[in-house]
Amino acid sequence: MSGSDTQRGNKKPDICLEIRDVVKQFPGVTAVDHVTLEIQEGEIFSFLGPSGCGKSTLLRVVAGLENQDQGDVLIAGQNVNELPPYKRDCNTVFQNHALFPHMTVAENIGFGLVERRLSKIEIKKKVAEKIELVTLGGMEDRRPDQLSGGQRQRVALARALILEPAVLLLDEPLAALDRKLRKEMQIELKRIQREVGTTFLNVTHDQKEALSVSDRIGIMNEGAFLQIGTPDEIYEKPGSIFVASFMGATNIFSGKVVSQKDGKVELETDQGLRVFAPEPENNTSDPVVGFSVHPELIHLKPETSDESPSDPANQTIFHGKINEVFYQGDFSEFTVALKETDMLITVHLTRGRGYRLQMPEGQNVEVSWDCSSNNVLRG
Amino acid sequence: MRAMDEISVSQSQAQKREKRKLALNIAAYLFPIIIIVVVFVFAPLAIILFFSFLKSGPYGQIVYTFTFENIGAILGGGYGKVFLQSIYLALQTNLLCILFGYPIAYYITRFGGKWKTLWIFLIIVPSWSSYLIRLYALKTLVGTKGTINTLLMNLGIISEPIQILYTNFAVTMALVFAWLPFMILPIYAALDGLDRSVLEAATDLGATPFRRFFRVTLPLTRGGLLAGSILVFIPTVGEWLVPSIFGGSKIMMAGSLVAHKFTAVGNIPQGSSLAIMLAATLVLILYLTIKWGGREALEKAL
Amino acid sequence: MKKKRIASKILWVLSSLTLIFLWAPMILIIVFSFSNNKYGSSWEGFTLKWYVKLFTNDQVRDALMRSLIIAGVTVVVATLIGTITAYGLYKLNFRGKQFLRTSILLPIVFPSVVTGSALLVFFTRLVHIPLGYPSIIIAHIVFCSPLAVFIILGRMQRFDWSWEEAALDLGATPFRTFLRVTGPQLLPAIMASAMLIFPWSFDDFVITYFVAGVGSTTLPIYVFSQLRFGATPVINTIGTLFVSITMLGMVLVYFVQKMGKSNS
Repeated sequence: MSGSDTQRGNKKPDICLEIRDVVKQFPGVTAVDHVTLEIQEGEIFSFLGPSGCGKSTLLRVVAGLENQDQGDVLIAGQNVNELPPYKRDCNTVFQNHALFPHMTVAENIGFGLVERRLSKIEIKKKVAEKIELVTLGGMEDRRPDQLSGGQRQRVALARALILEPAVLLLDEPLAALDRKLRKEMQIELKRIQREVGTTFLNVTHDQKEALSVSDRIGIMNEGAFLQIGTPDEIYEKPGSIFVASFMGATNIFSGKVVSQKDGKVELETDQGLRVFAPEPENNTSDPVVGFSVHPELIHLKPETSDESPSDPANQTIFHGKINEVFYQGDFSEFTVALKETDMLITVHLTRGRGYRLQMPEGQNVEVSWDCSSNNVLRG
Repeated sequence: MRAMDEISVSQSQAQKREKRKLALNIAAYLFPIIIIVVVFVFAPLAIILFFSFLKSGPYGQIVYTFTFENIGAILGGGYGKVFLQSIYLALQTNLLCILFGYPIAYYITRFGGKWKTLWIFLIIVPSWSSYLIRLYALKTLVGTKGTINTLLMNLGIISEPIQILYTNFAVTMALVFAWLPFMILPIYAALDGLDRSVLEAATDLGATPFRRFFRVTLPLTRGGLLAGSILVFIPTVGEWLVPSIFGGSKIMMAGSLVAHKFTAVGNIPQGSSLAIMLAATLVLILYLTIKWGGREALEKAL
Repeated sequence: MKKKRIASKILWVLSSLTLIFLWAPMILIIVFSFSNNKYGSSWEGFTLKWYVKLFTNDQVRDALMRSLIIAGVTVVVATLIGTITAYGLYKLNFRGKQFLRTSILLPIVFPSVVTGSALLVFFTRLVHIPLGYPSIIIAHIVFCSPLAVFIILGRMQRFDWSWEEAALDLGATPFRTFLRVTGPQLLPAIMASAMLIFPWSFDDFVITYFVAGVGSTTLPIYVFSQLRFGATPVINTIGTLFVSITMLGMVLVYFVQKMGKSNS
């Protein structure tokens, strides 16, 4: 729960959605386990987690499509526990879009307005506005089965936005799209959100998507939030082994603290290697269980006879042998086996960082990185 | 030039070979069904079409004089009324089947839970038990000396048996009884195939359950309704057993007229003309249904 | 949520009433088949004597045998024709295919009285096929084959034909391919069509009545003739057996399907 404190800063924005101690159980599993969360007006907040972590269930509780066993949901300050979905001030973009197959694009988008008993003229005007917003001009009279995946996506978005909900809920809406289209839609999603200013609550299992579209991310596992923060906080300073590995960190080492001084901690890994790391900012009661370091922060060079000047408090240096090299196009991935241990360390060298260095498999190398890159993990 | 000629010659030879192969295949695979269709469907239809323009002699023999009398008796006469009555009864049956069938199909899909299979089982069993036996069973219940009358008289509620048989009500009830399962099952299939998230989307966008039913559920199950209607309406129009058991001589339907002419009176020309008209009526109805509802619905019904 | 519960209660009541309507007459004759009442229309104490009477009744045994033979032959022939026709319709493309498909539908779509009377006239006036087994079996094949065609064709349309290509690629001749790959894959559909055709043929009254002639009494014709004389307890016993066998068959099919699913 670290990020929310830093975000608030001096001016406290309005709370748009509040979830208080919500529990939802299904036979045999606790899908949502005592979750408390505040989402601010106008932000894009992503629930990120592996499938089955309860993120979709939590979203459905907010939408009213599931009833929580315990706890409260407040939308724009109003407790909506007793309200059915059709009376809540939030709308959903469903995973498979859930467009009405028997209605045209315009009828789909205008569905909610008909329920609000607006006049035909007003409906027409508002639908036209939304069609323009999602750039679907000329598609008004098509049926969902005549649309491409990206177009359906836009219809679903326009349909959910037309009632101007306090919160827009997105249930993995981009999951069904292919990679290129997904990228395009992420940009679109962000543009549309900035344009309408509605609070977006986005559920996803795609780390890249969460990092690129969100203002804040909540990492979920087994029905609870493990860490909440801005994308850079989540990526650069994961607090636990789960978050670090879920965000794609490949160099995670378990170990314990052996000493602590000057805002630095010294850790010893299970294999006996020692590194220094900055002291973690948030002091929870959880013990330190290890550290992680991102592969793109590590330097790699052929081992030379003359020893580099060693300053273990600022620079971590190990020696090893290149195990494997994977060419990836924009970067190359090296795995290095550290000497006298069975530890493997992954290094990414981008083209700009000289990845064309002639370092074949079996070459003895020196890996080094700044101690500030070491990120302490708790658990 | 010569080389090109040779190529085109060999091409046309290849084409010929392909054609011969196709003809051979058609002969091999489709010969039996073509025999059935040509000999046992089209030829009999042709012969009754032919007979429907002939006359019947006093001893049931066929008199080979050309006449429009039989067709005239249907288009202008009392038989025409029986045809209209049949269509009316079938329409009424169809509507009643929808009225009774939709709620039960809806209930099973939405609230059936673990009992779903049992419900469906209890609906399929009657549709597969003997048609004749089922009608007989219904007659045992509602007949003049039937269970309902016996029970009510023994209890002293009525002194005279209620006349249920041989009324429009009895025929309609029997038709609904006989054909209801064939309406429930396609509606159930359509409801069961509905994408839940589409219904959730409607709720999410502000539709109350009642409004949602009419704006989303009903339009999306139109295919099932149409399939069920084809399954119920078509056989009902040509029904013979139900009117003969429950209508007696009072309520006639087109099917009973045909059967009457062939099996009781032995007037083949008149019977033939009635059968041809009945077939034509159904083909017309089917054609209109397909035109209005699309071919998929018909194929789904099968 | 309360509203939802009320709605489900109302629907439950409606559905139960409908189900009772569908089942009450059947339950009634099942009960009466064990009743001492000689008209078979009220309860006068338990007895099994009608069942004894049923099994010692020569007419019934005769009719049952006849129905079984007819249905048996029909199932075999119609399923065979259905299978090869479906295969031909699926694989071959030619002009007039759509017309052929529609024509095959006719015997299903036409009312039984039309099919029955047309065949009767055909058998007696045009080609002289003796009324009895030959005419009945031909008639049954005519109205049952289309059913088999469309059931099996429906399965073929959802079939992964790359299996067939794989078999051909691995050196199987077309005939061996059908025997080892396509046939076994279609077997469930072929079985299903056989299981649908059997009751169709066995239970058919109208068409059979038209083309049976004198003396060829099948079971439905026997039941119909008894109906004319009013209810008898023996028909109750036949009805009871019919319903029980249908239910048994359906339960069997259900479990066979379930086993098939859990195996694959």
